[in-house]
Amino acid sequence: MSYNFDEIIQTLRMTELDHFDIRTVTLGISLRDCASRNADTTAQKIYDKITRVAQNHVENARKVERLYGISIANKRIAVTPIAIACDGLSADEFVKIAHALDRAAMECGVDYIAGYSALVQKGYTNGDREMIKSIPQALAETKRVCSSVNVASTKAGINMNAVLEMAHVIKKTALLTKDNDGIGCAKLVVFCNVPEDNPFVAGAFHGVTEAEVVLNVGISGPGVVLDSIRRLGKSDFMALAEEIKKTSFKITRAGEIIGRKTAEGLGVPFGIVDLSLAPTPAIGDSIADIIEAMGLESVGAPGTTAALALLNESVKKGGIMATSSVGGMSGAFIPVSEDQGMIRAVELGHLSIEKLEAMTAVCSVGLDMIAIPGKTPAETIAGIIADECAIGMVNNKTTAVRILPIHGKDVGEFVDYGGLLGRAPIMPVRNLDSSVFVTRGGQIPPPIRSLTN
Amino acid sequence: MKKLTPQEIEKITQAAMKELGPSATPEKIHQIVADVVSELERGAPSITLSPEKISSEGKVIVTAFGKNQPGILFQITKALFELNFDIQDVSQKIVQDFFTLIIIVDISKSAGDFNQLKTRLTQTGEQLGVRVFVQHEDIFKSMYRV
Repeated sequence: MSYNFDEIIQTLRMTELDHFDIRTVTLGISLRDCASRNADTTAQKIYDKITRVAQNHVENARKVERLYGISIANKRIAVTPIAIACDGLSADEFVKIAHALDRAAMECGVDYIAGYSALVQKGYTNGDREMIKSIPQALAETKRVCSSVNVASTKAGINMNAVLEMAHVIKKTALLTKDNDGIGCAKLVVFCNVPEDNPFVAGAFHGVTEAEVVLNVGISGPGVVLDSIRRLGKSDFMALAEEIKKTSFKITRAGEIIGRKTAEGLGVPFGIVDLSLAPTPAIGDSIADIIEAMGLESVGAPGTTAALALLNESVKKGGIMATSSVGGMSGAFIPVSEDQGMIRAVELGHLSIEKLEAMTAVCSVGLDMIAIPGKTPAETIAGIIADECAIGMVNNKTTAVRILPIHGKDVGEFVDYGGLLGRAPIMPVRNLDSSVFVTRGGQIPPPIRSLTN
Repeated sequence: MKKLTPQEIEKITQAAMKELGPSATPEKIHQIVADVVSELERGAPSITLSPEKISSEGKVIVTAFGKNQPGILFQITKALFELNFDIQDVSQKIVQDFFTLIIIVDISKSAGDFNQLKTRLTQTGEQLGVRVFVQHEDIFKSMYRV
């Protein structure tokens, strides 16, 4: 027989025991042709276009799931950064667009739609300014809309005005959504070097250089990697790297075929496979557990950054052979609230924001889903964002901050969002003043490595 | 493409006059109304999608697991026969008391369809107390063959 018994059993083991799934199939839709002089007309055009293109998105993905017996955890939509698609509107009018996106997502049966975004790494247009101003209200009044703002890049440097403004936007979003533990901030990401084809919400959007529509896929599979490392037992680092590469190859191949078939079923071009290992709150589906399985007492122990670098590099090397269409973030995610092992390490005091920051230098994507005390000043949050941006800018990689200042809560307490967003213990932030630095204003110039020509 | 009624055009004209305020001139109002009307009548931007039917060709792999008991292979193959599917290969192992069955089925030559097959076999599995998985072979091809 052409299929070997062990291979079939192994695949079922991956899907049934190790939580292997495809994390997301994300349909990118350009909204560049929806602009008009009137906000209501624009909103209607956006709603019409999204619902027309994505009406079969969820049902089509379900068909693919049934055919291959591999579940697709999320079916989502990404759109052109709204500040670009709707430049020229006022803040109030942008909120109308957010409502149109929310309604369109509901109509299509998707839980999140991303792309309420602006790219301001080098400066603001008037539309960018208005759009960013509208973010807290837009996130508070909608359920499904996700927002991101790119404030820095290796080429442009760090727009510190935008960094400070985003810190205030985060604080305001937390305040407006305080009755739901600041859920708005879980839908808001501040980026450096944002990828334009990332399928992972909340940071997804449909880049301006992309085609009319495209389908991107994000793989998952920390549980599968964990299982293979555990079964490998004691070995040297070469053998460990080899094992991770083999596993990554298989999960990426599965991601690629599912992405291609989903795209075919919808009649849209297939875009990229994002090779990110994305954890979930399920037991065993954890990046922290992988690091511990490599031989560290807890994530956060000295050696953690090296272990994560080994993991991240090996996943990429295995994945790059498995698909010719790599894109997006393509690096392990370390969101605190979405990873049981990370939560445990934070609660035991083994993992600090500073250690997480170091870890983000060797993986994607950044300080992700980290709850901090609500009283943390905006200037301190701006300092945290600036630090992450500096890591991304100098190392020519994507970094991001998705931080949750929880109104009325302090260290020792936690927030629980349930579902994929998980549960986050409030982490201590250094109580030192950054305000004079972050309020200087202007641009931190780009690094020497931006001059590549 | 929809045609606007005179009432709707009247409303747009009022809105344009209000927005322009003192700077309103007949030419400006005419220009704005013409723009808005043509934009509304054009409707949302069109886009052509050409979806392909998700494959019901090739082979599928049926796997069953569970505690061994008489009749598992019989019931599953009976279901396949009744739905008119052609079995290409069967492999069965019993380790201690644990039953594992793998059947390769060609779905392109059969009148039955994939969803029907999946539903029926899942039901059969439930009746027998074993877990049955039905997956298209392409997933195994892509994961294990370079």
